[in-house]
Amino acid sequence: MSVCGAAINCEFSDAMGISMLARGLKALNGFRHWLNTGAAWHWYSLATVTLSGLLIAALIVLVTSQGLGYFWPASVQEWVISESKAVDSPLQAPSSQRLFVRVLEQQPVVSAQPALPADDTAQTGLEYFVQFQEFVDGTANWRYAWVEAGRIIRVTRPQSLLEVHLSQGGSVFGYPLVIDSGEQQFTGQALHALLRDGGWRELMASGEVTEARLLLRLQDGSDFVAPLTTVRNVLFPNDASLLYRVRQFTTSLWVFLSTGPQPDYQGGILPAIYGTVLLVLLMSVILVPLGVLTAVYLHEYASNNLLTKTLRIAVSNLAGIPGIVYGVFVLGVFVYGLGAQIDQWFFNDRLPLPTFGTGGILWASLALALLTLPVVIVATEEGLARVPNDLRRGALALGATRSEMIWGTVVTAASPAILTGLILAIARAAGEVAPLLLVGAVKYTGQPLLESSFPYLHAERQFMHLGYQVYDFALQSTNTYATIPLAYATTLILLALVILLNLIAIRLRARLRRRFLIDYS
Amino acid sequence: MDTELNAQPSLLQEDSQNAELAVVVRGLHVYYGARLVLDNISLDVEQKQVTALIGPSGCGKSTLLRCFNRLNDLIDDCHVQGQVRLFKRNIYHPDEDVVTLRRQVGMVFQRPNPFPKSIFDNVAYGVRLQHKLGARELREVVRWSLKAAALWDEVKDRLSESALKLSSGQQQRLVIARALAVKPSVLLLDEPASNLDPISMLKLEELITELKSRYTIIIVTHNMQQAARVSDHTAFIDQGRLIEVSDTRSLFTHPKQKQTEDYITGRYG
Repeated sequence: MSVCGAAINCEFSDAMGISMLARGLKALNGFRHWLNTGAAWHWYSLATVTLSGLLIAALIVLVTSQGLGYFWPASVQEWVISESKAVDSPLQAPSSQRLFVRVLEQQPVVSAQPALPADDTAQTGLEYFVQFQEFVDGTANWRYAWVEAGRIIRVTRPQSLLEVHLSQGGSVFGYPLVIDSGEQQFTGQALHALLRDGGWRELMASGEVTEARLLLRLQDGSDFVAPLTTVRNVLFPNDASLLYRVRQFTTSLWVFLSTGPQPDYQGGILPAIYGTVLLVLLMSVILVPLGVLTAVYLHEYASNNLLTKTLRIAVSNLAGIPGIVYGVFVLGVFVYGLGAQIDQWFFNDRLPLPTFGTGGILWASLALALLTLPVVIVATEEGLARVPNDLRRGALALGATRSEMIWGTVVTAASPAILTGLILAIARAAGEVAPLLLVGAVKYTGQPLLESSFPYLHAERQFMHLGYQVYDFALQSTNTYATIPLAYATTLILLALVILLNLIAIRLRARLRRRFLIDYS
Repeated sequence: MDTELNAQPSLLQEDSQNAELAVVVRGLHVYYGARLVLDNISLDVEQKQVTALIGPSGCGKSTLLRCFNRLNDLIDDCHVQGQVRLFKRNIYHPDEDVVTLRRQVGMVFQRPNPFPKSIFDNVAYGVRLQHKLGARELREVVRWSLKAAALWDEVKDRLSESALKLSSGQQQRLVIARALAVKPSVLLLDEPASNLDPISMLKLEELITELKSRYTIIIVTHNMQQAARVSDHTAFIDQGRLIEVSDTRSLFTHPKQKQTEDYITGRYG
């Protein structure tokens, strides 16, 4: 019985093995058939779309989170730490034992010499990278250091800790003790409410109490006196209320957007925002007539011979030239050549101080216009090519001259395509920094580009630019810990601005399309 | 030239006798590069009549039509020999002003080609090129033209809308209104109904019949029923040659040439 059963079992399993093999082969054949149908391409293309989508999403998430994170009030901890015994610390250890710190990073301790077992600095566990303050001659300076977890004796997050932004730059952490307005003194709850709800501003604005002062207790136990007129903003970074934090977030975002830069990386980037917008507008004013006229000549007037073909290829290739080359070109030919000449003719009285003979927003927008010219030419030409020939014949048959036909009908019909070119050009130009380095973008300028009196626009002046600010914050700073978050915040604003400019142009194009119902461009 | 003209003495005689001719073509040869597209065409077009040009695709009938307003000039390698006289004026004379000519000879194309502008601006386009009219006069011209093209009632409340919103039948009548607005004396229609639905086509044919009283109309069509319905005279062209021309009724009922008979009875090719 058992033998028989085994035999049956055996046969059964053989048969099963064969059938599984057959099924496997069939599945393989099915897969090969599926591959042959080309259906796999659907998935390949979907996969690449997904990949690009993920990369773009990652970029946006990074820039948004880092950028907005800069404005979110980060909590400040009060640490009591033991003396450092480390001798090879790259950053000088804090001298005080009580510190107000902001934790920026943490990582496991990496011991420099793991072979030495008895070294009691080689703690296992975490070390923290912190930002704290140190006072030199009464001014607060930011300091940064790695602190091992083992050195920390006590950590608290006091709700009453105040962060004071001073108008001449810098900020101070401390416990508010009293506001003394001369006739009135605020302490305790009243003081907290006054600082938290912005009442202190009214105290300052009321005028009669100009000598009102805020007294702070610092980390080392000493007192700090800040006249209210020197205080730009105060906030409680550890306040538990979400609403309060959101309000502080909006305030600092607004300050960043609506004010000019201050020393010590305080303040905002308003001049850079309008420098960028003005640069793009000036560029468009130069770019569109040049690009459209060139494209119209190439497509409508010139016959399609070897010369025009060569020109067309040359124009397309211009799009591939790095931005810095245009910067050098404009610097050499226009700034030092034409600009210096203009100075001799019209601004002789100001020489040797250059007016147009140095970098300025006019030259920068010219460089960007040259840089993006191919984009507009190619887009316009494509738009013109899509205008049906019947439209041209129709105009001519009504007795229009060639120019009337082109400018009255054909260019109108191609106007959405021209705007497409402009959109692409703005997208490229607004983020371009390389050429600007040479022709007028600066880290800071006090001279406004627009004035309310003649000549209103100072096209010869140097200007601030968001992209240049990012470059400066990220690579030219002596204090990258403070400026890298700023670089992210500025990047975010730059991205938002480019998107905004594009949206405006896209809406304009949509309106043109709707108005004319042009479906061939 | 003389021998060519002598080959058709009857036509020459008619030309000298009949002052009612709008267009007179004599010994017309048209080349595209080295290729001969129209071979020795001589044709008379009577005033305020509809003349239809029929023939198979590629026979050269559209090319002939475009000789009447010199739209062939746009084709780079097009070369014209012979005479085309419009009201006794040789339009291929070197002194001829093409722009003036085209204001005198309106043209409607196979596909409706309204400009991407409003209905009003479309009709006013040609007028604005010529005259500086006041707003009221211009409105009057537009109204008159749209009425003449039997479109006024359909669009009078939406003159500022894009012309591209109209149906293709309406667009084709708009294009006719646009041509009428510049007050031409001759109207050239290049297969104007070939992209229209049957009802729009009938409307267009009614319009052509109405317009006949004021304009000389030359229509190219590949639809022989249409030619029979709307035209007074019909010319059959094949392979660049004018095979036969006579009044429409006799051409369709008693064609003199075997080729014509084959074509109109559908035995062609």
